[in-house]
Amino acid sequence: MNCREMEERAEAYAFEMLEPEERAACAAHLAEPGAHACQAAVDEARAVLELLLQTAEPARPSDGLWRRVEADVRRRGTEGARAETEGALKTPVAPPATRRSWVARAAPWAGWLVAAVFAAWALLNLLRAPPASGEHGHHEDPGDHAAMLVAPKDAAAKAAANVLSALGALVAEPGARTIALAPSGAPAGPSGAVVLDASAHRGVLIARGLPPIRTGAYNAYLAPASGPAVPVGRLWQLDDEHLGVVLDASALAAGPPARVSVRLYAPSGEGPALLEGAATPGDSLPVKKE
Amino acid sequence: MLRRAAHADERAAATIYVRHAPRMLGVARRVLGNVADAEDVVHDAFMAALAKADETPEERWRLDAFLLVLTRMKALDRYRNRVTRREAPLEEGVADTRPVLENAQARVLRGELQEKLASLPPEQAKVVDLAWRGHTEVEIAAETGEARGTVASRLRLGVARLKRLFGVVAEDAGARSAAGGDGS
Repeated sequence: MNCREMEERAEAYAFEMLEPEERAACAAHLAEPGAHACQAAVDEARAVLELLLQTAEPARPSDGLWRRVEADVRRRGTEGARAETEGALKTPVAPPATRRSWVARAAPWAGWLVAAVFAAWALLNLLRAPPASGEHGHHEDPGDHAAMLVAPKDAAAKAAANVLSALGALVAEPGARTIALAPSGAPAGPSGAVVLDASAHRGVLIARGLPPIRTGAYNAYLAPASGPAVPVGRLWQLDDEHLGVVLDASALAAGPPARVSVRLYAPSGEGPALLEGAATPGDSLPVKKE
Repeated sequence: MLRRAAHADERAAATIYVRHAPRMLGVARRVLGNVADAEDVVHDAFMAALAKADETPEERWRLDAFLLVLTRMKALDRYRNRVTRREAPLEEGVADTRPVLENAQARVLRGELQEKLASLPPEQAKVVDLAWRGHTEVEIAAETGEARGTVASRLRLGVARLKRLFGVVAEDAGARSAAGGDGS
């Protein structure tokens, strides 16, 4: 093959449209020593191809794809010696400031509710401080989504503050009620509750004692009286013992959930229910604030 | 950014993913025709890009082109390894049709490129479209019922026209292509 023949095949070569033997002949020609006038034709055709690729309509990847990528990115860090210099791998949820309350020992249910509200106050104070560095500054739109995926420290702290703030407001409302959550299939272990306002348009799920995780996140699931459970949000670390999530109005639009559960969602997939509870008519809030 | 992601910086990885994965998925879906395979390809391309991070351009638009070309290559590998080719409607397997968050600049560029692509004569546009989706000359000839030489000629003419419309000139091409002397 000479340069003139190659030039005639430049587009088909750049677009990888040739049969294997033709392609090999072109590659062999381009690999021959010396400058090739035909190389420019190949480069131009490749540049056109790059631009053509930009015309593809973008598509929304599934959540599962990110989980797979995220898991592999983490695996790279774990497997490589680079981990030594990069420091400890980030956990998906960075625990905010820890504040253990003495009331937690006194009365299990009342204790953690009060402790949670107290921790909200502590967290809100903490968040008033300026950030330590410019790391978490402004993000353009795609970056904001990226921040949601990896939950950097400040996002986790703000989410935790939201949960505790919502919980504090709910506890103060008359008519609020709870759905107790118990360990699934085990007599002891984690515990939790969902606090709903009287109209069941707002709610907060709090869990305690869930085992620590390095990958994935704990998700809350709600199920109507008939129908499958659907994930309604990830739980955020509130302190070293509690996790919680605000159940927004859309999650509760169909009415109070008949069943609530908490599962681990890890890169390997969805785990079994660790906490479960069912609404009963007699549920009521065990403590009233003020 | 890619190098940081390659060093297990999850935030950098997430930023790249959010910026590029929808477009990578768009390319893979165009080649493969279904979302499940396309997502596998995007995953493979993403991890291959991390593995090659040290030899990857850092400029954002170059990274974009690199990732899209890599995605197409991976998609073609998968496409050509199939025993029989499957022409599935592009919508197959699409569960989530909400519009994708897209950088305004990228959206404008895409619109402009689509407009220019649409200005090609239909027979050239068809060959160019099938070509970037990974069909070989032989396959396009079989599909369109034209001689292979005709397919090759239409591709050359179409690409030559797009070069002019897109303003593509290779850095060392000099005056050779600046005047569009490609016989189209």
